[in-house]
Amino acid sequence: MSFRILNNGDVIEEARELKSLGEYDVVVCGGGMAGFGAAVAASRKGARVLLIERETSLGGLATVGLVPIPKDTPAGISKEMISRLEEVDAHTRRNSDPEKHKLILDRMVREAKIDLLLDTAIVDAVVENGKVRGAVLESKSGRQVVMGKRFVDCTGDADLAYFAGCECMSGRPEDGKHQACSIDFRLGGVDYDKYLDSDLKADDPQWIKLIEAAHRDGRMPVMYENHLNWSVFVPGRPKHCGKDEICICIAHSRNCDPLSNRDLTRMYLEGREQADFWARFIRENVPGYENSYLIDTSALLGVRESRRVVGEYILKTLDFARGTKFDDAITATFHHFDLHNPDGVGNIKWAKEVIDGKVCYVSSTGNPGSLEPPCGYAGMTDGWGRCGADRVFKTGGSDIPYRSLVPVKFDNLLVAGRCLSSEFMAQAASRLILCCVNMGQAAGTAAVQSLKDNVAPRKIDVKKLQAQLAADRT
Amino acid sequence: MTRRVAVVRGCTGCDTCRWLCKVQAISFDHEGAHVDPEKCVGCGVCADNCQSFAIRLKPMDQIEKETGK
Repeated sequence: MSFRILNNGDVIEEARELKSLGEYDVVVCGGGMAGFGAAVAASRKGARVLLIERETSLGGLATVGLVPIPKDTPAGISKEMISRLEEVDAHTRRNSDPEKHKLILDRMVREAKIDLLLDTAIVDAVVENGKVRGAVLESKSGRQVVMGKRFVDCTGDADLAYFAGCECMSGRPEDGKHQACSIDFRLGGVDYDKYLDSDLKADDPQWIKLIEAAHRDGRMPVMYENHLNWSVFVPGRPKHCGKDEICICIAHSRNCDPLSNRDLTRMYLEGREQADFWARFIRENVPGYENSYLIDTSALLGVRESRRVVGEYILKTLDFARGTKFDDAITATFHHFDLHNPDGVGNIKWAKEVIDGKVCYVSSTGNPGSLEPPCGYAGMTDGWGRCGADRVFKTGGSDIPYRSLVPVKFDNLLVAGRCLSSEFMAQAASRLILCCVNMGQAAGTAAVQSLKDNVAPRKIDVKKLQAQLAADRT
Repeated sequence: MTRRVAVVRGCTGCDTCRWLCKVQAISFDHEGAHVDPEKCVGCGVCADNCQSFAIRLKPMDQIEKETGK
């Protein structure tokens, strides 16, 4: 390999030949929850599939990130995955066991006869005539390329699409700020029954008053966060013996760019310091946690939003709030606006929008989260700008249209997962685990259909795709 | 026998019960989830799935006694 050092200290890397791993029908980049759904769907439809993951196991934030699985929209592959978890006592309520989950994903991918590469990063895209022809990979084997007929970008950060030159959005429109990122952690030695029976659990379940009081009297020197985001017990452990294992989300890093290795490094260091602080704080202040100890912190930072592609349709914040129906719906999200405040403490469950020329603070459920909007609770509106007693919130899910998975310009590229084409706040409501698997299943199925019918993903017969998904999700 | 309906105490606002409720008896405000006792059919799916064990089924006459209604 040859390099040329420039006078300014930068380095020119000379062109070189990359070893090709061959051509696949469908290459799925990213083995998180969306990539898992996409790869399994495509392979079951008869395509030769390669799934590429940069971590050492599948599942992304649901496994390596220690995020338990909310059961919002189980359907098709996501429902099958939940059933497989339940069979081994690895899922109950909203709680899951990340370790068993890893193994189930390994097995489901193997059963679907998917070719898998772990510990392999996507570092560039080979583009020719409006098509992504290849993905450039880096791993212990060095720099390689894999060619493909269709690509599904499930990297979360839209890495492949970005490297290919796809137009992307990133962060909040007014200032580019991203949602706070989290290091989740597990505590062992908890007497969960004691906690559940405590007055704290009944009267201050998000610990808001507890944290405020601790901050006032100096037990908490820095206001890292004003509320407990969630805490769930890990299923499949001995119960009612004072040795429960609890997974917690409360540590947040802000003012971060999840696309910068500097910022990512800072957030990992800060997240582990915060986890250490919180573990001590919880042990000293929360009933039932008196003998608790820190088991581990997540090895993958909980990035909630980074790049979103510009697709054939950009899912609007108000589409979500109103539950707008789309002819090309491929799944739905049942979640609420769920913004981990980019500026300071708090979880924000409302979106600032202009409706009929008026600034509104819009909710989809009526729950403002741990930070009320500037207009106060009564002034918060529904998706149509009505406030107070006139509010009528949507019921049921909000559609995610197929066009949100199809980046503009490219003729063989789809995306799925948190990088879907969406406005900032619409994305904050569409990023839950099972919704990502469902988007993945749709994108993987669409990739194979577009290949078989020999048309670009944007030109496929969407009714046919919907019929296929409906059949596969019964 | 008096019918049983779901009551909430200690809600963390995760939304799970609202997704699961078949009769749309659950709404949210700044205090978290609320169950409409008129709509609730007492099936218990919310209580069984609440991540924070905040929902319990209670006999209606006991609730009326406690709330003085």
